[in-house]
Amino acid sequence: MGAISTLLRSRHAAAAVTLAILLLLFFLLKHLAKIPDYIVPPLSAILSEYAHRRDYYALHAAYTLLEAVAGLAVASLLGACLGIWAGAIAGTGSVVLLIATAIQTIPIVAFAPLMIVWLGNGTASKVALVSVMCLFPVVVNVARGIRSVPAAEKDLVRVFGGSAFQAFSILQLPRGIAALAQAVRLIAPMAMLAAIVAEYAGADRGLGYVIVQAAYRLDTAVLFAAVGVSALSGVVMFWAVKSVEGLVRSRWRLP
Amino acid sequence: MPRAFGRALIVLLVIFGALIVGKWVTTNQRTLRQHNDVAELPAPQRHVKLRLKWLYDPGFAGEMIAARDSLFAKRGITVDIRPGGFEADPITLVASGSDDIGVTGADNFLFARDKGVPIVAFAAGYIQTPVAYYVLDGTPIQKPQQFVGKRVGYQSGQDTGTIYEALLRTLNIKRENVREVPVKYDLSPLLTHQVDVWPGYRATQAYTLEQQHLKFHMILPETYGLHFLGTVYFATEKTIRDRPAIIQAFVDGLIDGWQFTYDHSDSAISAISAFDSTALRPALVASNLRRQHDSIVPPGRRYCEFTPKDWETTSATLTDLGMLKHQPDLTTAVEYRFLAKRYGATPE
Repeated sequence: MGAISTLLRSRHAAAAVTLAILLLLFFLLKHLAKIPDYIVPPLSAILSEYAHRRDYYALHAAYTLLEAVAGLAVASLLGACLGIWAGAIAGTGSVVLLIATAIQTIPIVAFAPLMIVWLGNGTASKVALVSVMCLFPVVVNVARGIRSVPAAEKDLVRVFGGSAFQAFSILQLPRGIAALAQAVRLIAPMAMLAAIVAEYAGADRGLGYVIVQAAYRLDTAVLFAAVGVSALSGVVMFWAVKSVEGLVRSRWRLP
Repeated sequence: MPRAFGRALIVLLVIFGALIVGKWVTTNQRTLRQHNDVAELPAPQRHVKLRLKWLYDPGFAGEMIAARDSLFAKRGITVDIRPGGFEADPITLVASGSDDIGVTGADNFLFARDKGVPIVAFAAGYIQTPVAYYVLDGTPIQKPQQFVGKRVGYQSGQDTGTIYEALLRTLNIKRENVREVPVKYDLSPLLTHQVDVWPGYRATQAYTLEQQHLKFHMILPETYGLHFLGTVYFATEKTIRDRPAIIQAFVDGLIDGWQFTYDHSDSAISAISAFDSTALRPALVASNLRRQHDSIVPPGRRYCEFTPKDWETTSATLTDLGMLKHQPDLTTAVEYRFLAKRYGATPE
């Protein structure tokens, strides 16, 4: 009992156990409510499907992860630059925020055909779509971080003979980087989702492709397996980014 | 932590228990309502909910005309036509009881039967698949054998992709020798020459290309011996068993609607346009009706009448492609009696 109690006290173990119980309850409900297998397949069918074709799911998940990570990197870099601009330069900064907001409100399904026309049907258009979807939170967060330094602190730097650039680099930039790290952690799962949606627009590989094929053939076991793999991939991305964020924060002693 | 965990578990169990009870109650209420509906309505009065495969389109002209020109009403039923779409799959909606009758692709229908969905097909929409492969004039591709080495648009998860695979298999063309480019519904890759061949339907894209003043030709699967059913009308086994009079009235009204569409094109065009005056402009409707005619009713055939041979070739194609896990039992999946009653003979 002591060991179980210790285990349950662990956050991760409790989360995993809760998830497992929720899944079991979900499938128990399916059984009791007599939901047909073509709507919700039995858990055994989903697990069996995954077990028999692990390599297939791993390959397609890898493609989608590649698109998500690349898109996230582009969004982070571009978003950081635009966020610094928006936060540090009062006049044009507002315009940058306005444009970022406008882009965010355009549905990705409207963007997808344009990206394909401009960048072709390969990985580039998928990465571009992921970047577009992930850009706005990065820009807003970085801008907020840059602006979060009180004027009094900036004045203090000037009082001690520092330049505006020094005030920016000593006070604002670290806060901007901290905000960037936080934003990237939050949008990491969204990047995975965006990559899958981008694959709906036309792909011959990736989890989005697997889901489209499975939906066409009413192969619900494959559908659920693919959705499960994509959820797991999103969680992995989140934890990976969180670990990197922790390293960056401790290395550079960010606020 | 363990105490809080236990409390959370109890809450979850209560919620799920409530959901199970709620589901049981509504299921029993629905059963009672259906029983009362049958008893209450006089025999000729039936209300039918029809779910289309896609949005309103000239490809559904038969039922649209029948609804608008009271051809269903003359048979004693009213039909509520509901457009399909990404979030409105006819198979799941009919199987769940939300709709009574659906229109879907023959391929989708057979996949559903393969997975145990209890639906039965009773009439055809497109007797021959309307899938076509577009090539702009000037591109030296006249037949599928010339796909080798060329960029061919491929729509995964669509009948265009299935027919493409079947066509290559029929003509012994290896897929790896074709440069497949994944595409979706937007024609831009064809117009910007990112692909040489575009997968589409013989009516839909033709009008768009004509509007762009682009000359093109189509490669049709039946030219190369590939006969594949297009769309079918279906209902659940329960509806077929419990409400055959409704299905018969629907089939009769539907066939009347198709006959009227092509016998009185001018009136039909304006009636169809009225369903969606923005998307269904008269010029588009006229073009589509003309181009789709030989798919709706190929030479020597009758409206809506599929035959056992149609089903055998279609299911054999899907089986050969490895898309069906089991050999479909076509004796239970397809019902011919409604067509037989209308035409006075069982289709051969």
